[in-house]
Amino acid sequence: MQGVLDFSKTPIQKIALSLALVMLLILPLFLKNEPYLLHVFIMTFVYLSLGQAWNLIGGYAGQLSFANHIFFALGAYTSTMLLLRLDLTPWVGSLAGMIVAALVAYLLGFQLFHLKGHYFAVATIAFAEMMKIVFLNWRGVGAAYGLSLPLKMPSFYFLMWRSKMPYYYIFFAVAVFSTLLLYLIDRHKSGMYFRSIKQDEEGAEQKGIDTRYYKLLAFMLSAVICALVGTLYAQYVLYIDPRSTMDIMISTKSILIVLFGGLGNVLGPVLGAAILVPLGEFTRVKLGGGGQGWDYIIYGLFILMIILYQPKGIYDLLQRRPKYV
Amino acid sequence: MIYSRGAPNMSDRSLEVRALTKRFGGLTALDEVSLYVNRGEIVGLIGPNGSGKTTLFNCVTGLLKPNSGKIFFLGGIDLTGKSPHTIIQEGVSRTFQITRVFPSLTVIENMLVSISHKNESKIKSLYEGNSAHEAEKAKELLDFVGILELSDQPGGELSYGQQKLLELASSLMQNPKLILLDEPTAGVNPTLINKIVNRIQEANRRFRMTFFIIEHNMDVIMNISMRIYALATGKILVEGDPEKVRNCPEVLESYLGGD
Amino acid sequence: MDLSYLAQAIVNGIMMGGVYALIAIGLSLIWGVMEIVNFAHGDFLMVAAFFSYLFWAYLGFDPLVSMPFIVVLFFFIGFATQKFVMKRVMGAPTLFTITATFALSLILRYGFFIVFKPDYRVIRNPLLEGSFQLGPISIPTAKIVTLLVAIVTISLLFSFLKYTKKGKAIRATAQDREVATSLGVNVNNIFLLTWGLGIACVAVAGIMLSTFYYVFPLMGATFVLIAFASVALGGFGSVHGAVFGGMLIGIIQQLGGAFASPALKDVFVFIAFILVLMVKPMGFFGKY
Repeated sequence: MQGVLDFSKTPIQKIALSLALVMLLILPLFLKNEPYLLHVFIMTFVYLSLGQAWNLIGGYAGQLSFANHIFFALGAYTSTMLLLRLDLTPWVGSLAGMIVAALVAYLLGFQLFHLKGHYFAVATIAFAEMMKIVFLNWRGVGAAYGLSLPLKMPSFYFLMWRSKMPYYYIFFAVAVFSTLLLYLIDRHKSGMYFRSIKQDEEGAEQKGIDTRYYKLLAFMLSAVICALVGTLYAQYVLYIDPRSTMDIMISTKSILIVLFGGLGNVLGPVLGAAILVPLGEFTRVKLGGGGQGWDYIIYGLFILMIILYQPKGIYDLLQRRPKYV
Repeated sequence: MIYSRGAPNMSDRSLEVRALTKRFGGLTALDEVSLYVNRGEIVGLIGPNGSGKTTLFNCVTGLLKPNSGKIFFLGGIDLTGKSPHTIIQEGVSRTFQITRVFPSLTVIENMLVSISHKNESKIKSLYEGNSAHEAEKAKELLDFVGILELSDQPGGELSYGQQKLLELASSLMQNPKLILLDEPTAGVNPTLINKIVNRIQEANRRFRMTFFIIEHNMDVIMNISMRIYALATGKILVEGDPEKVRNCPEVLESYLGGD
Repeated sequence: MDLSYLAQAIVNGIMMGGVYALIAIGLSLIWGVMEIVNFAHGDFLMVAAFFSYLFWAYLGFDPLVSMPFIVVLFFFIGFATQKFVMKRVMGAPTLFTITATFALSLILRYGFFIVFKPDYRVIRNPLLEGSFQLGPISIPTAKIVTLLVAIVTISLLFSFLKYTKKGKAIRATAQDREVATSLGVNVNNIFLLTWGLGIACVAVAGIMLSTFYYVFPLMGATFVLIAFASVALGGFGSVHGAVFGGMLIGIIQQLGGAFASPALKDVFVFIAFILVLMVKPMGFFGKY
């Protein structure tokens, strides 16, 4: 079974990755007094997870969903509402969020998957914007005012801490989990089937592959990851509202990260997130005057560069270097 | 329906098409077409451009839904209107006029994607790889058509002729009961044509594979077919062995008349 | 619910419909000829509106006066966008063309955001101030003039497409690029022309919007989605459809806002959009 990454063929990659993992594990111990840096890492893990989620549905299965941030928001809102109304631990609330997201993904996919290419993309955007307007006006979930989480830290049960360190490890775990999930898929039959659907959906059908089922499967898995990240994000920022959680830039950024690093392979989003997220965060701080503007411009410029000059992403660029192993 | 010739036992028929009609707006592409292919046969389908040959294949494999008529498989299985993947899973393979390999999948992956997906657990596909047996079979078939050494190349990098061979090999991969070949020798150099013809005949002989072949190359189709159907403007003109069809004046006319 | 309320909503809808039609036409043209979904379309609108505002604020020009200059300028901006950016991504997989225009949108939108801040700006327009009263219905002068300008622009465009040689070449290219090439059409020039026309149209819309609507850097977001809805309703690739779609969306939006609540007026647009995509993805006049 061939995957794009064959660790057995490149021991250097294996060593480098293991080293990186170890470093990331012990890093927080050195950053106890740098909450901002910890925050940057956390956001990198957030977007890495969201990126892998999109990688699954977009990079592998080839469906251009611009609605993944809605699943993120559904996760956040579901667990938070359960926490507020039923005092339910977010550990369980996250499961509820994932189920809600999976269901919505199923219904959405069911309705929209017969649309091709541009139409599907545009339809997901319309759906996302519509959901945002609905949530902005839905008093039951706080409408435009949003929801503030009750402060219960420090508490493992309620997934809430004063320090950023526990959050770092949790988001790190989710990022590793989502990357491993994609690695699993990449190396087994489903990865091959997703890729065949992306390259030639009709051709895949004519090989006997139930393309609709597989697209729904990818979409639901993707939604579930986003929802989990959403729940954890709510627990981290302690306040959610439609404007921030249903901002289409969340989906756009996830897509840009995958594009930048390289679609349809497992390490691409890792590279993309590792470069673009810290870059975005630092520009936003350094060029503080413009507020949110600069990081978007930088994203936009980077993406244009990539698309025009290196559409296969950075990962591919690195692969071209001669191998000494 | 009158069947002038044919197996006395219907279930000897791999494929049976009855009064199949397909319209596109005002245009009737297939007009009450009836034909059959027996198990183990190599049957040809000829006709000028636009006569409905590929449309017929598309109806059989589910890419198009016929307006009326029926398609039966192996005697009892009704394929009419079923979804493409269901039809393929029943045991029908097909190739396309213009080669259609998965460009970014390797040759061996192109083969592995073509295994029989009937009764395959989709959830398990998330964590299951292909079995050694499947990999072995893929290699055997690649060897059978002679492109084993290209196993790790991306499908898109193969030459046109190599892609044709790959398509043939992958069509055999799921152990189908019927293979539909759409112009298997189109655009291919003469040496390769012979090789393809040879492989089809060998597969028919060795694996008892049933073939239904669309072809424009008259030498090829007359040489390889046991029976031939001639199609023109959506209707069957004539049916019979190569000699009979070759000498039929209406067939020649349909090609010259043009569409 | 009295009739005059209903009538006012419909009239408002027609007014806005004119603007939406103008925006949708450019989008539909670019899509029809080149199969590019221009996500930056709304941001070109915004930039044009800003130009109009700036010409007024710093040079004292009324938008109607600065319009010819701005429209010509934007024709060349569209031209340049195709020549230097979009040309490279044509033929690439859908994801790349979508993301390229998305990136463009980000750069335009946030470039202006940084320079001009999120503040809303308004033109105090002596030429077009005031409104007409048609019975119980009030129609701002600016909006009526906008509708007239839209009608004129659309008619000009239609005439161009129908009667001139270049116009016919555009239609031929939209129908079948290969056939057009074999007939001697230089499709690369057609692409440049199409982008120029498309952006010029949206510039007209932006300038007219600036006479009665707020001008702010993020306005592209709202309008681009409305444009997509219009094009989807009318049918991708059909400029007649775009006009029909724009009008219909304008009416749906204003009626929805009048009957439900103004905050929800866009929900009706999106619902219509999704319904169309699901039920009749070709739109009413579409080619695809």
